Amino acid sequence: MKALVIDDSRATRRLIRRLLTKFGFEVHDEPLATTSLAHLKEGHEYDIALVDVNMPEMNGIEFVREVRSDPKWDQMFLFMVTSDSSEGRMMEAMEAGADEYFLKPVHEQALKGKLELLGFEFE
Amino acid sequence: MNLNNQNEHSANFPHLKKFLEVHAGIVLKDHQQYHVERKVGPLLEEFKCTSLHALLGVAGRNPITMKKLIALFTINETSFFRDIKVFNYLKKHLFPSLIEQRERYKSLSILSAASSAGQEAYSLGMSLYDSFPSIHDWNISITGIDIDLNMVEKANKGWYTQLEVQRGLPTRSLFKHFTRENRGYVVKPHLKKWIHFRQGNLFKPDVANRKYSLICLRNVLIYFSDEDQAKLLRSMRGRLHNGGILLLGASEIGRQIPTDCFERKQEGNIVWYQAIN
Repeated sequence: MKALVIDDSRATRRLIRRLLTKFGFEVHDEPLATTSLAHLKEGHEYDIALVDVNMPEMNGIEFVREVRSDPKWDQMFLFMVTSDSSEGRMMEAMEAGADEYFLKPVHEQALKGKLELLGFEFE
Repeated sequence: MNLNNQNEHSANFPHLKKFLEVHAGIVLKDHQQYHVERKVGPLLEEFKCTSLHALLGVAGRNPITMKKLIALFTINETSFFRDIKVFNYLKKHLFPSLIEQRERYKSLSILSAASSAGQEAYSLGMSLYDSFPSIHDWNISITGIDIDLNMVEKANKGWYTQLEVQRGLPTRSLFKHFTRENRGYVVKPHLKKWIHFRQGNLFKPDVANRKYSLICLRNVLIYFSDEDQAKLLRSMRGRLHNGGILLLGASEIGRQIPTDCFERKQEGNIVWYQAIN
């Protein structure tokens, strides 16, 4: 299982990376949606991308739209991780093509539960 | 804070720890001793005990006190779609078979036993609603029973905080089945009309003498002695239609189940019990 973590907060990237590694993922992280998109275009493949919503240059929802516009990434789950709890934002993300929307703070069991909803299985 | 009480609780913490470990398999961490006074205060009053030492004595003799004491230290792990594999199996295999059994009556009754804050009952409702549109006009009844009136009231309101809906509930289901209300989310009427909660004792016969097609009794047996577990399972058999299904928690499937009441069935990791005549 391979995961891409995209968040402009280094502390959040570290936290999510630590948890995902514990769950058994191989993790790569990027600080920006723009660098992540370039990384994906280089041909790197992931089962899931965990994407922050509010980021400079390109926000997480714009990233989701970009990814969903190209069928070669259809199999990759897009999982928003954000502190933006407004229903409008959630709807916007889901309509753009996100598979799940997860609110910070990142709690281990809650994160695991949401990943299980997407079909990931853990020991 | 009453320092005398605090000292007394600290002195008796090892006894409490041992008690919970022996009777409930709950292992307290040492730092939890600082919460003991706040937690046991109401129980000391209820059972007219002047000390934790006295309460442990009463709990050793009185199963109700014991249960209440254990419940204080049980982490409420309830979440929506807890153990998602079970819900997936229900949707794919068990619900279709139960729906077929009940087709001519166009009614389906489900019991969520020890329903706590209601997440299991609502999850069962969402699974049925989303996967089986053909039964939307059936008489569907999902009953949650719990001994704790506070939980029953909360569950009947169907209102959950942002944090609660975060636990296990798919975002699409949140939009479909809940409405934003008072900084949280409340269950929409199309789902709520199927689901009701009431206070009750699972050991006693159902006053309504209602029969169910499915009973979820997950993570409940662990709180009872072997003898009481057998009583409870027999009571559950009495509430099931012939051929009805009993689901236990993942950690409970190795327990002794009365073989004159249930036939054990298994597919992969999923175990369930079918009521036999």
